[in-house]
Amino acid sequence: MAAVSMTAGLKMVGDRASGVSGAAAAIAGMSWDSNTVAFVNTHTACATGGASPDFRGQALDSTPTSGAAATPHVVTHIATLDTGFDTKVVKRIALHNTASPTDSGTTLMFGVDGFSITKASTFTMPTTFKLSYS
Amino acid sequence: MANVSHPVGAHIVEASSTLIPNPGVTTEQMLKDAALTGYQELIFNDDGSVTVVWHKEQ
Repeated sequence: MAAVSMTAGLKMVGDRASGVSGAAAAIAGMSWDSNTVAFVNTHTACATGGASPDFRGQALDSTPTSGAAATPHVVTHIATLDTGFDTKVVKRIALHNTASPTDSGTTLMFGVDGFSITKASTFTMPTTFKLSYS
Repeated sequence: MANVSHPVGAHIVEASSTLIPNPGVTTEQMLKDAALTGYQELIFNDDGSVTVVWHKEQ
């Protein structure tokens, strides 16, 4: 399993921190897809290595929160996969700098791959991503 | 003159999903439906939900 920080995600962090003109929007969305392609840090979209059979992109449930500690400074992002993905298989999750992620949109910031879960109608599934800035 | 900065990086420390069974659904049935593979850890919570840890920094 890989847990990958994309180059685009790190660039966004730097640009946002220093207020660079034209800095990309903050992390605002999450995606779940059925793609078996492993993430690598040069990917800019979930579909970079090939389109996903099934894809769901949503806004985060709420504004991300962080702990008091400065080193490492951990920020928590939560989104709940809706029923539109019921009966489909999730094989990757990712964070995006848009509230409306799409498979081909160049908004990919961070991703985890290499697992499998069938989203059934018998349960809900909030998903949590914790990022460390340290 | 001091020229001080701290190296900064960003990385994923944890990624997880909490499976919350709908009313009338048992934890066992939920896990059977989910057909999980590739997880790092399963945490059985007191309320019947199960937290599936996909990635956790060791």
